[in-house]
Amino acid sequence: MTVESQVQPERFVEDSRRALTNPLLQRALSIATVKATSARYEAVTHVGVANWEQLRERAHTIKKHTIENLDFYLEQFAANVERHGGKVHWANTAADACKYVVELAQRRGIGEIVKSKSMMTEEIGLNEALEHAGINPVETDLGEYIVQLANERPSHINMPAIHKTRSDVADLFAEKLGVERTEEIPEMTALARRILRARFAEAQMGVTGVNYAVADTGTIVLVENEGNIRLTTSLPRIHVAIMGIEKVVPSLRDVGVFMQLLSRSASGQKMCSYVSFLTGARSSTNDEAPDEFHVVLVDNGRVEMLADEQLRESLYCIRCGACLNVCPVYRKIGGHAYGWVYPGPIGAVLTPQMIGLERATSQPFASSLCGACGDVCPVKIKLPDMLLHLRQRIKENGHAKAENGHLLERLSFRLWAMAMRSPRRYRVIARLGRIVQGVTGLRVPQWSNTRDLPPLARRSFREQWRQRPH
Amino acid sequence: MSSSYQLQQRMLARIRASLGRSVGRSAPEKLPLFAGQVSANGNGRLDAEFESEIEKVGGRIARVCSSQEVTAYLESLLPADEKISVAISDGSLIEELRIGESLACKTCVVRWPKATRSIEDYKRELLGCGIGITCADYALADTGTVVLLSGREHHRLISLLPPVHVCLLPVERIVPSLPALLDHLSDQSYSQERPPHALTCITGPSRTADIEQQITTGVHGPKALHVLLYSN
Repeated sequence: MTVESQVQPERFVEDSRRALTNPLLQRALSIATVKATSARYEAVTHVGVANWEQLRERAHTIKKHTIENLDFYLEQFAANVERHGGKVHWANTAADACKYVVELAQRRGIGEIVKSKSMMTEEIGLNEALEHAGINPVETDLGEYIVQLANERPSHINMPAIHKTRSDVADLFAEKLGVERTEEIPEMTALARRILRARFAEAQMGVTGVNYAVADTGTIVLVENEGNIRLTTSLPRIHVAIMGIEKVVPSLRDVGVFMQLLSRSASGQKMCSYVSFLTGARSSTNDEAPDEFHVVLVDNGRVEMLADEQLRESLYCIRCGACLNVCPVYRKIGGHAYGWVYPGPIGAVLTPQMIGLERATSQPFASSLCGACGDVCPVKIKLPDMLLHLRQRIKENGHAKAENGHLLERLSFRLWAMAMRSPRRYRVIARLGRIVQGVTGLRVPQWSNTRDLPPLARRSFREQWRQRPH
Repeated sequence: MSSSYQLQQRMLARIRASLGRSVGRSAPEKLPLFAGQVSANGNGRLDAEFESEIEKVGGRIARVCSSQEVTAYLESLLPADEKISVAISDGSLIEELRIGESLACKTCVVRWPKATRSIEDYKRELLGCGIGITCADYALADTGTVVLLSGREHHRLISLLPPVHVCLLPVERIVPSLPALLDHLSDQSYSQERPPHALTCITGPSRTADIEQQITTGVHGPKALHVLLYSN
C-alpha cells in the first residue's frame, strides 16, 4: 500500500467538485485529452478497423492465456532472468518491494538513484521509502521531474504533468531551481536536460518499471520517448526493474502484438522513440551492460484479484491511458480527484480492489456508462461491466455512504417498483406527480442537483387516446 | 527470513489457489501462431517505405555507396567554427570503410576502450562528444525504425549520449516490421545460450510533450538522428 497520507480515495466527491471549478485545469485537460484521442483515432483509422479489431482480440487472448497460467509463466520468466545473470525478488506487499530496493542500495553504499516513470513505483510508494532511508530518488522523466519538484502526484498514466500549464512550470522552475523565469518550453526542457544529465553522470543505480516481461527469454521490454529509460538502464552499474506480476507475456512474438497497439492507443504514434529489450546482467567486462540486474515481482493484491473471476480481466491492463483520455468524467475532473495512483476508468476498477471497496465507494459510480473506455481498450477489458459489478458489490455490502442518499434511494426505488407493478397504481401516482409538478415542480433529492427531470406530459397517452376524434 | 526460493514457492502456491488449482502446470498448450499485423508488405520496396517513414518521425536519411560519401556527409555535420569530439563505434562496416581514420584529422575521435582505459572514463568522454556514429543491425520499414543489437558492436552508449546520432545502415538489413524482426530473432539470437543484452529500437530523435503537449526534441537522447542508407 502507498504511504497513507497520500491515499485519499474517500475524498472523491469533494476533490472532483473542486476540480470542476478550476478553469486552468479544465482547459489543460481538455487540450491534452482531445489531442490524444484524435491522434489515437487517426492512427487506428490508418491501420484499418478490421486489422485493429484482430489485433485487440489477439492481445486479449494472449493476456487471458497468460493470466490463467500465471504460475507457469512467472516461474519460467524468473528462471530465465536468473539464467542470464539477473536476480529475482518475489515481493508479496508494497513494503516488501520497497525494503528490497532500499536494502540493496544501502548494501551497495548508494546515496542517490535515478528512476524513470513507473506507475508501479508510485503504487508501492518507493520514493517515500527511499527518502525515509536517506536515499535521494531523482525522477528523470520530464513530466515526473516536474511533479516531483511540485511535491505532487502524477495525474495521468502517461502524461504525469497534464494538469500543469507552462506558466505553472515556469513558476516552479524559477522557485525550485533558482533560475531566471522563462515560459519558453524549449528552454525549460533544455534546463531539465542539463540538470538531469549531471545526475545521470554520477548515478550508481537506476530503477525502472517494466512494460512487458518475456517469459521464454527472461527479457524485459521498456518503452519511452525521451531517452531517460535508456540512460537509466545503461549508465549506472545497477539496474532494478520493478513489475506487477501481471506484466509477463509468453514470448517475444507476443510483444510484437502489444507493440502495435500500445503507442497508437496512448498517443497515436506508430512506435514511440525508443523501445529497449533488456536481458540479464553483463557477462564479461567487454559488455555494455550494468554489472547487476534485479527484477522485483510485486503482488500487492494482484493474486487476490486473480481469484475474482468477474474482475480478473483488470489485470490485462497495459497502462496505455486510452480509457482516461476518452472518459467524459476523467476529462472533467482529472487524475488527482480519484485519490490514488491510477485514475480514470481503469483506476475506478483497480482502486476499490487494491485499496478496499469500503474506501473507494464513489469511483465506480463516477461513470456515465457511455462505454467509450471498453471500446478503446487495446486488450478488450470489459471496463463498463466491471464498473457495474463493483457498484453492485458496494450496494450489497452496505458500503455506500449516507452522502449518496442511500436511504432515500432505497425508498425511491421501492416507490417506483410499487407504481410499476399495477396499471391502476401507476395512473394514480402519475396523476399525483402531474399535480405536484404544476404546484412546486418535481425534484428528486440530491439527484436533481446535477440533473434535470424530464417534465411529465399534461395529458398521458391513455387520456389522449381515449379522447381522440373518431 | 524466508529464502528467495521459499518466497517464490509461496507466491506460486497462492497464485495456483487463486486460479483454482492445487498443483503446478507443466507447460500449458501454446497459443496458435498469429500472422495478423498492421502492415501487410506485399507491394513497394522496403527501402522506399523506410525512407518515407523515417522522415515522418523527424529523422534524416541519405543514400551512400562509398567510404568517401559517408565521410563527406559526416564532415558536413561538423561545426565550422569549433573542433568537436566524435565517438565512433567498432561496427564492422565502419571499420571496413575506415571512417575513424578519415575523420581523425578533422576531429578528436573517441572509441570503445580496449583493455586499458576504464569504462567510467569512456562514459565521461562520450558525454563530451558532439556526434556519435554507429552501424545499425536492422531497420523496420513500416515505422522508420533502426535497430541496434548489442554484442559484437559497442553502440549502446554512442547512440545515446552525444546530441547527434549518425547511423550507418546496410540496405539489405531492412525488414518489414517489428513482428517480422521478432519472429526472425526468436529463432536466432534469442535462441542462443547468451541472448543480446540490449536490443534497442530507435524511431527518430528523443522527444517529449510533457509541457502543454508541445513537442520538443533532444530531451535526454539525441536531438538529431541521421541514417546513411548504405549499398554498394
